Parts: sequence; structure tokens; C-alpha cells
Amino acid sequence: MITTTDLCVRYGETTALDALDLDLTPGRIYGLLGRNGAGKTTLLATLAGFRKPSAGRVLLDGEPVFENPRATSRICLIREDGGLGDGIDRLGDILDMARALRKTHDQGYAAALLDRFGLSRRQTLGSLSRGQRSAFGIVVGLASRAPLTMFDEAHLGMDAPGRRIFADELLADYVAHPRTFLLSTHLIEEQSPLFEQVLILHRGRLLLREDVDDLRTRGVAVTGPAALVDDFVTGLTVLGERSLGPTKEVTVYGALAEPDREAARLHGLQLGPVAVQDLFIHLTGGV
Amino acid sequence: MNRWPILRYLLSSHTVVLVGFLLAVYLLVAVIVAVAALFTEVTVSAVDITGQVLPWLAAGYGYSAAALLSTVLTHGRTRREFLVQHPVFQLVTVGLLAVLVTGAYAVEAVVYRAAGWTRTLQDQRVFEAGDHPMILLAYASMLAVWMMTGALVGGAFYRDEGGGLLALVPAAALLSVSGGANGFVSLPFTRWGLTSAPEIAVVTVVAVAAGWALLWAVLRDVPVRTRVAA
Repeated sequence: MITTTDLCVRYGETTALDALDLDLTPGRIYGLLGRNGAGKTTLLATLAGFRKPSAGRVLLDGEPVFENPRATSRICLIREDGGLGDGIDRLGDILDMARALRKTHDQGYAAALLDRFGLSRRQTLGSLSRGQRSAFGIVVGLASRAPLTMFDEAHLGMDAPGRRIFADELLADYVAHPRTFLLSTHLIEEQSPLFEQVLILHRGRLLLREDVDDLRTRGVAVTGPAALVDDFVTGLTVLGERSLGPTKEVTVYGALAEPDREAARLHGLQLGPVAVQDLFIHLTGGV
Repeated sequence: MNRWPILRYLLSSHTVVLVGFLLAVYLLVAVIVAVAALFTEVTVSAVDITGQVLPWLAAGYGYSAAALLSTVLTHGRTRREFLVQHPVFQLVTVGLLAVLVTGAYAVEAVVYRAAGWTRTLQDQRVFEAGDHPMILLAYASMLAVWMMTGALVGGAFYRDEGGGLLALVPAAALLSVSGGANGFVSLPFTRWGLTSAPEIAVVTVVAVAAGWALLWAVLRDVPVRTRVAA
């Protein structure tokens, strides 16, 4: 689908992306994670042709992306700042523009999404709250039906019901119209159920790329009486811990050997999957 | 997908809005003149006075081109497409607006004659009140150059503020050179004496082409701005 080779982006003395090699296969939902300044926004902007690489290549199905309408017309990037028009523009006019410029845009689906988010074609962009703007960006992104659709913190400012609608609609439309999604987010625990594969960027490089199910096996959540849990995790790499009364949950990094699992069962400790966010924090250098 | 999607979109939306806006301006001018005529004798061409505002409206609209480019890129188009199709849109729209302005002069002539008013134009105009071909050419020249120059300055500021300030120099040169010919910039050093129709046309084509070339250089690989870097 989309491939980067030795991709570098520099801003003066700052290297935002450093010799990044990436190959995303089509028809999957990817989560793009990274700390602030990791290069997520720059990567998405470069994949979409919003920014020219300083070095290296970005190819969509073998074709260069930058300034190539055959490629860019198949990519949609919705950024957190929208970039969809001016404050005086009506939502209906912006959607009409999308329909005029993008062959795959589905105006009927856009209208249905507007209804779901409680928006009206007659509203102006400037009259929307931060969360409503994000919702409108999601309308434009999903209705684009672009083979590669990317959202960069597109849910910023949205309330929990709005984010739920986003997740539901994304999954429903993904099933109905399979395509590739790349979602950049800091809401890791909330959004990770959407992801099939996670990409972690760190300091401009790809630190990790793994299926979410495999990623969760990189650690274990141990739950039980506090004293027993503390004894059990002694000597292990602890990623995080939570207590509720006498019960404690500790997340440890690394898979447990079978004897350790057996010991946990004997002591009545529960073993569960690790939170992706805990792994992310650990892998990117801890708190 | 239709060919030239950006051009089609702009002609079907922006051109309609701009023409409608200018019509509304002239309706407002007509009302003001009618009210003024109740209290005083009308001696100047209201349409001609309105012509002093049009360069700034054209430049202001042109200035917004860079923001439009950003939106166009979000919808999957390219800078190259935009830089080809937006200037074509500008020229078509400018042509329509110039026809509308010329029509306003013609209507005004009939009204003033019927009312017995005198009709004085601005001193620096390169056309007479009834010379409609020259009115059309002068306004088309002015609107084309100011709109392109506005786009150039807006594009340069979009790229970076330092570049925007730098772009003011060629922008001033374009407006001065063309303004000396079409009569919309009257400064001592811009009186070229090039006032025949072919001369105005040539100066206009050169100025618009130069503005477009600079705009291409400014925007051909401009990054889309992001408010917050990750």
C-alpha cells in the first residue's frame, strides 16, 4: 500500500524523521503512537503529500506521493487543526467542495454522519466548538472513502459519546468499505481496541511495529491481594500499579514462564493482558 | 473525476459569489447616489469612484488563495493542479467582473443622461466616459494584476513571514508598472505613457505572467501548515 524508504524530514537543525522505513499493507487499521515531538504529525503529513521529504521516498502502490494526483487523490489526512476551510464557510459548502474535488467522496454518507454528530449543513465552521470541529473533520475523513485515510488526533476536544460514535462509525464503514486507516492518538487505551497493528514512533524512528494482540503478550497484569502481588513481582520489571483497598494490580514487562504462571495460580493471583498504554510508556522511556 | 476539478469548483462557487458581491456593491452605490441626489447636485461618476475600491477587493481575494490551496490539498489535489487551475479561474472571473463593471458604466451613462447630471471621471483614468472597450481593458488589466499580486503576497506569507515581507517588493513593482499603464496607480514614477490598448494589454500580460511565475516559485512545494507539531 504505502511505503517509505530512508525517509528523512528536517526542520533546520531538528530531525523530525530519521531514515524511516515503513511498509503498510492495505486493508488494516493501524494505530500510530508516539510521545509529543516523536514525529507523528510530520510522518502523516509526509505520507499525505502535505510536506516534501528532505530525503528518501514515499510511494503509494509504487508511485511517488508528493505532487502526484494519482496518489494524493487516494489519500485523505484529517489533522487536528482541521484545515478544511475558513470560519465563515458553511459545512454544506465544504462538503460540496469535497465532492467536487474527490472522486470517492460519498455525500450521502457525509449527510448521515452529520446527523449522527448533530451537525447541520447550514452551520459555519467558525460557529462550531472545538469538539464539533473535530467531529466535522471526522465526517469529511470518513466520507472521503479514500483508500488510505489518516486521522491525526482528529478526536481532539470531542466528548466521550462523540468519540464512541467515531469508533463505531469507523469500524462499521471499515467493514462495509474495507480500506486502510492510520490513526494517530494519545488516547491509547480508548482507541487501541480499534487497532489491528500498532506503530510506535520515537525520536523520528520506528521503535516498534506489532499486532495489538502480540503486543499485549509482552507483559502481564497481575491482580490479587497486595502482599502476595508484591512478593510475586519481586525481581520483575514493573510498568505500573494500581490499588483498590486490599487488592492490587501490577503490570509487569515480559512474558511469564510456565512455572511462574503455575505459581500465580497456586497463590490465587489473576493474570491478564497488559494495557497498551503501560507498554507504550515503558517502551518509550518511562515516566 | 472531471478534468480540471479545481477550476470547475471555483467557477461554480467563487465566481458566482464574486459576481454577486459586485452586483450588490453597485446596487448599494445606486441607492447612495439616489439618496445623495435628493440633497445635492450629482457631478461625479459613482461607478468610477467605486473603481478605487476594486483593486483592494481583488488583492484581498487573491490573498486568500494560499488558504484555499491548503484546503484543496486536504481533498487530495496537488499544488501543481492548483497553480495551473487557479490562475485560469482568476482570468475567467476577472473577465466577467470587468464586463460587469463596464456594464455599470454604461447603465450609469443612461441614468445620468436621463437625470441631466454631469459625469466626471477620476483624473488618472486612461479611458473616456463612453469608451467602453477601454473601460473593459483597463479594469480587466487592473483586476488581473491585483488579484495575482494578492495571491503572490498571500502565498509568500503562507510560506513564511520573512518571505512574505520580501514579496512586497516584487508586488509593489508589479502594481506600479501595470498601474502606470491601466491608470489605477498614479505616481510620478509610474507615468509610462503606455496608454494605447495594445500597450496596456502587453504590460498586463507581462505583469500577470511575472506574478504567476513568482507564485509558482513560492507555492510549488510549500508545506501545508500545521498549528501544532507532534
